[in-house]
Amino acid sequence: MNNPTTNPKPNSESSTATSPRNSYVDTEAILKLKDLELRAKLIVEGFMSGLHRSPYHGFSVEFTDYREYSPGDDLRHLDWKLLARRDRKYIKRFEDETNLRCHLLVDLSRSMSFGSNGVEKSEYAKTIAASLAWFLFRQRDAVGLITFDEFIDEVLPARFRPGHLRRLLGALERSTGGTESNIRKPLEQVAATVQKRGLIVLISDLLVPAESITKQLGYLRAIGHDVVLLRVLDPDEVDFSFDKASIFVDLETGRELYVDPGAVAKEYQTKSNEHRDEVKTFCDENGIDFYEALTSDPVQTSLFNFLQARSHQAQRGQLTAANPNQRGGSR
Amino acid sequence: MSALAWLFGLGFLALAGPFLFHLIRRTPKGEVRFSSLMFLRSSPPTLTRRSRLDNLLLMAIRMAAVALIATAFMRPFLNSNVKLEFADVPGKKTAVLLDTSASMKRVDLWDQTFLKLQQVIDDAEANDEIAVFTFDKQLKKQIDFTKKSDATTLLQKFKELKLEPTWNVSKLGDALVDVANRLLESQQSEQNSDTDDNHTLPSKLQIVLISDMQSGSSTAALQSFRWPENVKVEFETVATKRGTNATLELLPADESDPQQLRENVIVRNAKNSVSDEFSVSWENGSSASIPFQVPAGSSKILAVTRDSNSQSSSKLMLEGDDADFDNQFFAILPLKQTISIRYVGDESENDPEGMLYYLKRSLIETPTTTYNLQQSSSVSDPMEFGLNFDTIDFLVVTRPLSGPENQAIDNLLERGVTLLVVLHDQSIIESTRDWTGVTTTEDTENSKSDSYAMLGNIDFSHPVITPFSGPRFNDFTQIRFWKFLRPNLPDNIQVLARFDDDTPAFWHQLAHDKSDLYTMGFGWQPENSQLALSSKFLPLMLRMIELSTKTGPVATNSIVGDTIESPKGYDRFISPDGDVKFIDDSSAQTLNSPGIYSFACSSDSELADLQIAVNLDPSESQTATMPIDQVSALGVEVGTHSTSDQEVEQQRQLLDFELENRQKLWKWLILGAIGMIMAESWLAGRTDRNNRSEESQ
Repeated sequence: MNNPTTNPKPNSESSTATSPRNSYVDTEAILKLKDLELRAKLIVEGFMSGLHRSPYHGFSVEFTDYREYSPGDDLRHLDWKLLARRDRKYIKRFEDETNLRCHLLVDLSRSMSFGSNGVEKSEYAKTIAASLAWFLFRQRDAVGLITFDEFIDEVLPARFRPGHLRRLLGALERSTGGTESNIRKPLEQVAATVQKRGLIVLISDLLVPAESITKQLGYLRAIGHDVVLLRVLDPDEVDFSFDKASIFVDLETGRELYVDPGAVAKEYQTKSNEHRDEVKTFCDENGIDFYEALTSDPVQTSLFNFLQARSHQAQRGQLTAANPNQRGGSR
Repeated sequence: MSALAWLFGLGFLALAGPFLFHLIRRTPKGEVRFSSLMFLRSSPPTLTRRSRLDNLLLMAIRMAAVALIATAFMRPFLNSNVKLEFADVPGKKTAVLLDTSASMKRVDLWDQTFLKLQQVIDDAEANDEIAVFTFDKQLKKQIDFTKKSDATTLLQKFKELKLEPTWNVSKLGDALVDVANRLLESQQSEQNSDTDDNHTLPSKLQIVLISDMQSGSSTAALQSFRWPENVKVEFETVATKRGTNATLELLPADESDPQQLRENVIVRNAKNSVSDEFSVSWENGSSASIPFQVPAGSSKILAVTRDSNSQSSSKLMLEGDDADFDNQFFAILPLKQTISIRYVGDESENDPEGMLYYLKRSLIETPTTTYNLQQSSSVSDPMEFGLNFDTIDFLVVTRPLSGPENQAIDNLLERGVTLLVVLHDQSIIESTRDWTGVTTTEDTENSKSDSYAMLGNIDFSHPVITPFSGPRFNDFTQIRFWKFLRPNLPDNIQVLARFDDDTPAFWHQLAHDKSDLYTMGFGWQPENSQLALSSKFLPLMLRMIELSTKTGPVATNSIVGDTIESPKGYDRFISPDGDVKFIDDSSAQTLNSPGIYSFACSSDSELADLQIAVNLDPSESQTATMPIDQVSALGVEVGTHSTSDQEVEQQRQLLDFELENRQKLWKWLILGAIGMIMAESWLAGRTDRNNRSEESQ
């Protein structure tokens, strides 16, 4: 897809140089592939081949719990062997069928269609989502999907069954951009529909006021979900490296603004950083992992960051294992 | 160079438009789609020196086009050398019409009138002429047309005239018509006197009416007058805040009350009155007057009783209103008159076959008139007969007279006593021949009982017969005559009535050139005729008796402004203020003010003074203000002519308009503007093309 703007291409050398896995996969080449499944496969397999030791091996190991029987409990869960052996009634608690329930929330609003270096943020976000899904599916985890703009577009519940991944990738491909982004709605939907605790990955540019999402994120955390924010930004949105005064048109609202970049670049960056810091501070305070990915970065980096985050969460989960309510999140 | 519509010069402000548009830098065409403007703020472009003004030629052309259009709308034209002067327009002929009717005597209305007059004179322009007229019942020219430059003289003259409101009634309509005609006449004479080489435009005719516009003023004359369009009337109304005005009038006496102790008075309160409580009393009355209420615009009748002090008072007074001028009513007590009638005849007064019986019954007494009828029969002593004739007014002879009687009656005739001779019998003719003029008679009696005569030829022009001249009364055919004389009369005798066979029946002569002498050729008793039994008898007799009294019919109640003939026998005319005027018999006297006038006779002490009560016209008391619409509805052109300054300005505008219409410079200016717009289009197109090609490069 061609960039509709006439802006000079932002300099993305710095961001690509720091990518840890760019030696294995050429991100730009992968993103040019139309088939999302193929993209995901290439990324994940390339990524896996580069791993020497997975720090996340066994994160879905089973854990069995006993608790004393109390009248009214389902007798099917009674540990008969223990009863026979010790003459004590214990209820055997099982882990879920799958280790992890992951919900991918992908923002496909019109602001995500911005892209300065030939890569739209929405394409980048879809690729990350597809890669994550592929990766998790390989680990036999259940993956769900919600795409949204100002309304919720596609909803796939988290499943691990044959064909689900294909459907998920198909839904991702089908989804086209809407107008405005309304992150609050999908978060509310997840909170309302996903009863079992799981992992919620929100992939968005988060170009909304911070206070409009903090309440829902906080609520998700409160009911036990693990939340990861993956912010996808274009390098131009970070640097604001325009040089010619122009009419800037808001992709979502269509509002026009005459902007002289030389005059406002500094202010833009300050405000942008303030907004980022605000979100980051909130995430830190609430145990939400917050990562940023530039579209110029290799997708693997994002994947790596995600897995790293998972490891941190795993460690955190072990620390809080004593709390039965946290058990679902400590896989 | 001048313009018709300078206001369109504001269009030159539009010149700022092109200048500002050239100053403003056009916003860039470049457009950048960006994900979100939430971190951006608008940063307007800063003007650099280079971008302040560009395309100066284009701007100049645009400004020139705007300027040309604005100038065209101003309708410019080239001035001619003609200049209008103040003297080029006609002046105004102003007739100031001052109301001097009685209602102007109220409070300070006359002072206000003088101030208004002064104001009119001050407001007049240099080439105006002013005349002063006054009107009440008729118009009077007080000061002839005077130039404004002589304004001080005019005022001086006016002061010297020492005019005051009169007691007369106001006739506004007549005054306006008269003044308008006089203005037209003066304008006509002015134009006639103009020579051809010194022709001036006709003067504008203006009437300034300074009046209280009282609603009682008569405007009837305007209804039949076609008001000239070039005469305009400006109304300067004088008014007073103290507007309560009531008036009173004594109603005619009730004849059934001969004592005349209670008299009815009607009190009318004007429409615009504020107060409604008044009191009425006779002058010199000792008893306190009783207050009563009359609402504004209505009237009330009440009885006013005379007490012992005011028994002879002739002035009735009203109290309680603001205007005194109409608060008196003058009424004189009816003059009681006793008429002495002597009947020279032998019949008994109770004999229905005789004439005295009917004469006595025809004398009906009224509160003002009583009759003293005495009979002189032939048995009386002739000497007594003469003595008893001293105070006789009317004498009827129906029997033959003796020599001394004849002499006595002749003496009376010399004094002016009226004599009626009834020739019902041949025997009377001889002794009265000197008076009746009868020389011979033919058949003295109509022997046939069934034949009769009727009055055929009656002279209705004679004062005695005049009352019967109306169509309802002039039928004498119901009266039949059986017995009558057929006298032969000389030609110089005035016959008042003849029978249908042309026989003289009733004739009149003057005895000694001063006494009326009537002769009837018939008797009115039933045996001779039906006259005594007819309806004509009583008025005929009373008419003769009335004419025999010396005073004659003089109206004893009059309105101010009336003119009365002096009654016979009086030589002095005394006004209410005591002025005595010596008069001739035939002179007419005008009654100028309310009060009691009287005629007196210095030579004849027996002749009682004749009093006349003169009162204000009741319509003058209707002081509510008449709406000006009422006058304009009668065709009067209400308004003022434009002043000379305005006239000069109007003429100048007309001249300018004509000039502009002839020159039509605006067409050339619009043509120039179109040319400028075409040049601008071409230049702008070329500049744009150049810019585009530069950009594309």
